[in-house]
Amino acid sequence: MTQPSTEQAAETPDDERLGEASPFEEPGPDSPPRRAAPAPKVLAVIALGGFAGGVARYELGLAFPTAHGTFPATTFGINVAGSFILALLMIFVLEIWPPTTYIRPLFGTGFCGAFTTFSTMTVGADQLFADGRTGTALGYLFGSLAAGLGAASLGLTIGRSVLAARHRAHAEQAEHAEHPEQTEHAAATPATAEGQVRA
Amino acid sequence: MLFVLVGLGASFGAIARYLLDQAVSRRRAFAFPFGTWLINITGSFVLGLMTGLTAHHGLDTRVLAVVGTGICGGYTTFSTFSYETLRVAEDGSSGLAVGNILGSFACGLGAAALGLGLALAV
Repeated sequence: MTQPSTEQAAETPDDERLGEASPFEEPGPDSPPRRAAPAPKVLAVIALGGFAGGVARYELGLAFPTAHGTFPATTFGINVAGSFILALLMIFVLEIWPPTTYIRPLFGTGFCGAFTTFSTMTVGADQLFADGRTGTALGYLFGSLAAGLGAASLGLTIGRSVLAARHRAHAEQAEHAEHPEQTEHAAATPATAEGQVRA
Repeated sequence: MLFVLVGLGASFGAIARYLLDQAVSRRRAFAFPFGTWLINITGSFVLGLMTGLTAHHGLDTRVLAVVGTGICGGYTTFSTFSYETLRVAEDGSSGLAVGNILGSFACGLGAAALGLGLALAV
């Protein structure tokens, strides 16, 4: 699911990086040749996004605590909101914005990935089952699944409608290319949005 | 100040997730999102264990905040699970999408229960 970084080949991994990656590698004569290790800058922005996502989830949990044995509404809301944001982001990253190296690691892998959590849901549901709150546990699990998929689907739909609107705007722009003064206003909006993204 | 340690734990979890997913997807070219599945299962087990140790063995709640909320929370992900499930379904593999849902939920609940139970047993 991770986008290959254009910088991977250029960066020379230091010893520290190789040491960090080693638990996930199987060094041996029969293992395939190791590709370039992930670029340290990509790992740094994942760490930055992960920090922000983790702190946001932690602080929301403190601000909106849910009592033991009740529906874990805060984690539920976080997972649904994060699913929406990630799906919307992915349409922009993959289909709308020009290719970037850091947007997806920062906001997708880092922030959304760390903001949302699967383990808190499974452990929380197990505890509800153990407490005999079977209905609440099932509602939590099925609710998270349905709302999470629904929110992600909404994010994809909104992202694609933005994409379609931009295609229409570009077609319109090309159609009236002979009279640039008439299309100046319509063309200005997407160009401005792109500029902000690159900045 | 605890929030800084929680954030650092989440950074560590996010990087571990990225590296593990890279390592898995470079070896397996399956449509099934095996990397995220493995991440969510292993993270569920560790969080279950830490939660159980806190509940039954008096593990410091600040340790649970850093390791559980920080590392395990940052490591596991619900948003990528939702996104990948939809993309697999859109690619025409509704069977794989259903398999991902059932596999992630059943194995995740089982792994978390194993961790909780192990903490109770030790």
